[in-house]
Amino acid sequence: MHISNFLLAILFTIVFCGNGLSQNTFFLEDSSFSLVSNYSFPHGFGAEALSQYDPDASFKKACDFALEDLNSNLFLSVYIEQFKTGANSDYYFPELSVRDSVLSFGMEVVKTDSFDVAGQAFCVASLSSKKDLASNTIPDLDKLKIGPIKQNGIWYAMGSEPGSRYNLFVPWIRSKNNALKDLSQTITTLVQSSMISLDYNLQEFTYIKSNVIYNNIVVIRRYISPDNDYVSIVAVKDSDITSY
Amino acid sequence: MIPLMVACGSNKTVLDTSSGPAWYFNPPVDNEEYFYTTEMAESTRMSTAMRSAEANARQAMATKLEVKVTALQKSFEEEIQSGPDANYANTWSNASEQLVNSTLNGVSRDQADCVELNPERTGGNVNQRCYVLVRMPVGQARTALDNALSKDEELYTKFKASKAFEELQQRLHEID
Repeated sequence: MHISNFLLAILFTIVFCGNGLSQNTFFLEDSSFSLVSNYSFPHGFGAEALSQYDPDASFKKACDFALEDLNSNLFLSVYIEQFKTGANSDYYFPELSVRDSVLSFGMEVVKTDSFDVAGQAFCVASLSSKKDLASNTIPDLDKLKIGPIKQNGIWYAMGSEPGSRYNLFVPWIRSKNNALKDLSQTITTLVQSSMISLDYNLQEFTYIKSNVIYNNIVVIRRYISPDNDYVSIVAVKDSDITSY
Repeated sequence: MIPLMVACGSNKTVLDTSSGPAWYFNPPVDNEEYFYTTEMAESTRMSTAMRSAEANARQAMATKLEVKVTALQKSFEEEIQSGPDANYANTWSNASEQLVNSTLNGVSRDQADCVELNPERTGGNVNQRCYVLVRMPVGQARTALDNALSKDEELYTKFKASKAFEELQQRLHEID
């Protein structure tokens, strides 16, 4: 484990296990993965390097990121196209789009939590009327590492992204998106393939497409792995998924 | 001494590039619950190798469910005799087209494993190989098969319609 992440995990533990301000439990749950957050409702998670000169501006930026993350969790369209020609060429075009009408802080959207850890400002945003998942338990992590799992009407998927010492927000967003891309391809995939052989020449072309729209995505757990990967576990109710 | 220590400390580097997990070579047999396919892919990056292997496996699953094959073979033989000498020529041409068009729902990874290959053996920078075993619930597979059947029925109906049209035209000509 990278020393800074180790310190971060320890700091999360020290600061939040005994911190009444935090609404969720932050602790070292697993010997291999360090638990960073644990939520059961759609929320946005933002982070920004804490400026010594203007900490307010850092928190504002973190909350802007949290708002952006929240909006993407309330509605996200995942459109993946993949082209394969032969065995060695693979063109992969994932596109994740947030809806046009973006919610802002106000009566409907509130800042749930804010804190600073290891020189980073964090902000959590959520809807004032939280839509809780029926369950806050997750499937076995070893099984989730293999692929998405559906359990009691809820889809769970894991995504990871190498961590960064300078920008914590981007790896968290990207790890969430990686989980959703994986989940989308599991839920529905169109495969069109054409293989033409003429004597000893073989031409092969494959087109793979997945279109899925998600509402109320919950990043139910965030972890940091011993290899400094930022790991997000997403949970979405089956009824909040539309594939077309 | 140092390379030996490194090799002993690493359990990921695979010297034999042909090795793979047992489930890849002996995948589970399709049963009443699931259909299975296995595939592998190589890349410089583990995530790309995994994604590519999975795409291959989905393609294999789609092919398993529905494939339309059109094949054409042409052969030509000739032998020209002139006195005691003969000249023999033989040409053979084979063309085939395999089309797959399926929507797969619920295809998930059942097993996945990646190995780091020895670059000295691969002779390049492609050093990650991933294996995947994917499965599809039979219920979903049945839906895909039913869709394939209904597509065939549609084509057959069109064929019947065109045949009937031809016959109708023929009768009209007979009347003329």
